[in-house]
Amino acid sequence: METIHFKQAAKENLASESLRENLHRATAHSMKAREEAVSLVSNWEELRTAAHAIKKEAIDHLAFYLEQFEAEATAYGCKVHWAETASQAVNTVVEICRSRSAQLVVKAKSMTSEEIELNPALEPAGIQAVETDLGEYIIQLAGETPSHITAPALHKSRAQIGTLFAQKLGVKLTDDPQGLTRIARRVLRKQFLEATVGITGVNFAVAETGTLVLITNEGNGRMCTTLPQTHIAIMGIEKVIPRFADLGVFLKLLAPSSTGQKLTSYVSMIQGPRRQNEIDGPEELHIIILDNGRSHFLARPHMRESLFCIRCGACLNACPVYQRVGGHTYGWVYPGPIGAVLTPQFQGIERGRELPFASSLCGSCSEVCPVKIDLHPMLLKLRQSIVDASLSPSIERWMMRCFVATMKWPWLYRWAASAARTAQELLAEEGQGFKVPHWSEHRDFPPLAKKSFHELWEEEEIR
Amino acid sequence: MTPTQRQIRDTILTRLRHFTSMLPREEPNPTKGSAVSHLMSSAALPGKIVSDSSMAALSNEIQRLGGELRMVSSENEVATELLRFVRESGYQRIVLSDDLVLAKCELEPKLRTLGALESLITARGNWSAAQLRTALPDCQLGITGCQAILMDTATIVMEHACFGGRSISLLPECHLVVATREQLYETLDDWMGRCEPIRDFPSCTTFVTGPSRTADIEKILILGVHGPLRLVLLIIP
Repeated sequence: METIHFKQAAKENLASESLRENLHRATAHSMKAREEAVSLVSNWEELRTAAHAIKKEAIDHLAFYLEQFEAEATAYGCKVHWAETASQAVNTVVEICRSRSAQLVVKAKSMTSEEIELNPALEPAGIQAVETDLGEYIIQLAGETPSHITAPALHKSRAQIGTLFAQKLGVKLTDDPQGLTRIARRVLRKQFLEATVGITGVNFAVAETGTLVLITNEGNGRMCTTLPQTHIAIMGIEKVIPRFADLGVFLKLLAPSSTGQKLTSYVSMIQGPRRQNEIDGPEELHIIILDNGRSHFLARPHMRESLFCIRCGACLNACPVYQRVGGHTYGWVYPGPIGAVLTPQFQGIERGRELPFASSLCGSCSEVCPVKIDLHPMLLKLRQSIVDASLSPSIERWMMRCFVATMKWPWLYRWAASAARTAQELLAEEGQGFKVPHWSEHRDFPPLAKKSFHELWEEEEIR
Repeated sequence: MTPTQRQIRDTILTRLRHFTSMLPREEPNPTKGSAVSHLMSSAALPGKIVSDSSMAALSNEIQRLGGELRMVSSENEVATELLRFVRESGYQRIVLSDDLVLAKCELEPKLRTLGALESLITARGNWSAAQLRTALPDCQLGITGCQAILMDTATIVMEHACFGGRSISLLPECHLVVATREQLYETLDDWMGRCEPIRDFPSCTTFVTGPSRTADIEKILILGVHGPLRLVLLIIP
């Protein structure tokens, strides 16, 4: 797979004033909302610690809890499928849709479905998949990919969305957000009623009770799991939590971290398809348990915690790099700090080699993570792997060799320092350091002292 | 399970067991942790005595979310208050669940006395699932009871095994919920701690916290995306 050229993409996106403005507004708003919501939770740090412990327990015993979940969900009448690869998951979805003669499916927002590239596979099978989350609907119309985990159209202004709706839906041009939302409500309601299959992700899967938990705001998740005759839920293996009581901890953490709310508008807890005495809901509920490389994360003890992620997006909003360059720069479905950790693991360090370096290691991500994932040390570990595999830029490797040699032999160090001072006399302007090509466009090389400490000591200038 | 599926399943689980066995850890203890919460049938559990400050917090929270809170002083006033609401709102296509609290106040016959309604869908109409699917999207107002109210977040716990199912609180533009004092809980933990584990879950239970909303366009809050635009809570203290 081709390397994701983060640096090049960042340079291009930094040049876009409108993108910078949209990103700044959206991330600043999210950070403020998060701060206010968190301040209302008196035991926030305790909850984070508890969440971390619960996720550790789940991941450390993942096989046990997945089997328990499968047994409980099956007892309710769910059909549980397993998929080791993305293509197996996609094929399962296509087979289920075909068995129901589905031509139209409605989808709630699911990063997992983007990860397995579900939509492009449904189209050749004659199945139209309509994204129903407003942000996802907008970018589907635009033919783009999401730029944020929880706010997929964060990079678009209202004017851009208005123009898009006018072009693609044939409606009157407006940039009024309420008007645009009403248009989407009207158009998508018809789709909900006509669709045969609803596809969602899963926020949490409770092993003890076989419960699927969907956390949403718009109501499209509820629509997708109420109106179509068949519901397909795609979940990564890491979504399982041990007990129903554990859910309370995550409910109190997710919404404040993600959107600055106490709770989202809707938390749906689903146990199987419609029962005999129930008047609506799907007749069939298929759960696809997806590996797609996650199990291999467990082989790397320092990286296991990356499976704890509950996809809140807080690390994105807090990251000074993400705030400026946006999600598309990260080259795949998971952006920001968590993306910089996941992409190299999912797609290989060769493809993701630039991502762990897209960070000043400020640690803001780790600080805001509701599950206390130590993200920035993981970025450091990945950098080590990339350097060990000789995937870092060759000039960097060459410079490191020079540095090691200079530090190893004191005579070489003194000679190099003396040569550098002489070169500075000749090449640099008075009182200034060297001008390094490209590097000095945004940084100042500090001027070297005219004499070294040793020289000053010898000359008794500083005794 | 097909042989292929069995193979995929076993491959994944074997790999997981292999990698997780490499580090020291405790054996799984699924019964560890706080008592689990299960959802009761529509019979409400006795709640704690609810303080004035909790009611004030509920009121503030509902308003902050863009919902509405109404209160009556006794069961006798419920029907009167609901009729007043229907007249004020101008809603003419209404669906009514079969929750006990609504049956006790004889809401259906009283609504029919209004006369001006275009349609009133209730459990007595012997509606099939297919007929309801056609009729419910046209409804403007869905009136239901609930399983519980979590006061600190103004969350309504909705079980969907009643008449109208999941749709009655989702499709209409306005969802009106009637709750009794016994159904009030201070917090999520309070409710989860009080519920006894049972195996008779409905297929779907929803926590409803305010009207449907989005901030996907420039982070501007808009109510009423796909779910109800208006959420009204009527409490009988």
